[in-house]
Amino acid sequence: MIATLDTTNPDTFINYLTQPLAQEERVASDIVTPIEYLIAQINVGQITFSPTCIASAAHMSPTKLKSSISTEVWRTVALDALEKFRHFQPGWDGLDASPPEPLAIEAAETLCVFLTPFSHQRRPRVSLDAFGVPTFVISDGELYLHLTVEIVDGLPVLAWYAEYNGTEYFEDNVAFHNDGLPTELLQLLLA
Amino acid sequence: MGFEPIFGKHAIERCGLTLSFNQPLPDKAFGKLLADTTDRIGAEAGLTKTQRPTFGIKIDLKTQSVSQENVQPPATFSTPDDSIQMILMPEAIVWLTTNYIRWPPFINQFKTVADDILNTYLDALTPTSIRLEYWDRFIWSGTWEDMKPSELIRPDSQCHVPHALKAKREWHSHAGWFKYFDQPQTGIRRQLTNINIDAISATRKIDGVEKPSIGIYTMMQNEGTAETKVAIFEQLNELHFELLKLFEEVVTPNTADQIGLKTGVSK
Repeated sequence: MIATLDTTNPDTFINYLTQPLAQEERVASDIVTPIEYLIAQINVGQITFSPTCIASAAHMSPTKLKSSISTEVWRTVALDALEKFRHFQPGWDGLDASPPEPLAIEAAETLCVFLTPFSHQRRPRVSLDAFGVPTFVISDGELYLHLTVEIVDGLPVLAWYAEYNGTEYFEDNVAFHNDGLPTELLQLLLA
Repeated sequence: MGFEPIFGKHAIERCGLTLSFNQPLPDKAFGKLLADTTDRIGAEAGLTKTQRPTFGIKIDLKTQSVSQENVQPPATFSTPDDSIQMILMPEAIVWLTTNYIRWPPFINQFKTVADDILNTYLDALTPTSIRLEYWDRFIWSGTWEDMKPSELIRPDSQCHVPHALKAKREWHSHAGWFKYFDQPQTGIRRQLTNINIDAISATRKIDGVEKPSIGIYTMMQNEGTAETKVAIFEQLNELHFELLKLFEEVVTPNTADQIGLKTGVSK
């Protein structure tokens, strides 16, 4: 049996977009773009870039700004989900599911860094299967991707099955080096 | 009531590193570097080049005339959401992320993406400064009246102005110093440290309520020389380690636990 706990389904994600996290953004930014503040200003037609944020934000289109905000939201939700998975005990599904290996959760957290920058549709749902394997799934109508991260001999390895434009892609035992996504996987996400 | 890291488990809004060189790359070499780099890192790392208008102004003090000067514009390569940016200038490389969770993915991704780029710079130039910066932010759940900065900042820390913690509204504490090295074999002549702490208002989007927040900027910059890539990354790893220790000197032990500072979860 495969049981998954999915806290990043599309409905949840849209809810987070319309009702931002209980996370504050500064008004007087001297350091970084107060992205949610700018989005709010754009949405009410009052976009006024303050001098302090021009340097980092003025070159961004509204579309890109919205992409940036969903980046923060997706990453926060995904990392929260993985943090919950980290503490799962044997039998967490009420049957005989395995808990995740701490190293697998850590590798999945790192994967989140590299899976974050893509379009909203290409942000995967994060789950844990009954074998305790962190899993990322995208199904946006164009691309289907099922990506897992396991620990083999103490090192993280990736496996994925994907379908894009009627073509199937499968890779197994791909070493994950903490330095970015494998090129083949990156190309699928950028397709 | 208490302070919460802006991202739940960690407080890092942004992290950046900057390598500055002793002189600019010649125009032709810089142009070739950009041409060679653009397609490669687009395919290998998903970073695409964005053009920004740049102009220079030349002021002649003798004649008091002002004229426009052609300057080589920096090239910015970024992910689709701008969460990772690499800025190439003729005399510097900047790597910035707002998508930081740990040091290894941050530095390893830079190392992979910038490998060939660094070769080009190092063939012609010598790095003269290496800088690493962190921007952290914590939100106070209460009001200005009941905010207790001492729950976030160690009162006995030597890294802030002592009476700033007693202020009832916005405050800033900026500190910095140089450390000089007597061992020339390391290549580092001196090291600049900055710790800027800013308490400012923030608006909570969910209910529009303004909340106090405290941002902590920590920066270390080595000035000197680093002749090889190995030396550059050794210095960056050392700066990261030193900044960890520095941050632990700034925040309370509870805060250090909260963000996994000791276990390496966030930093």
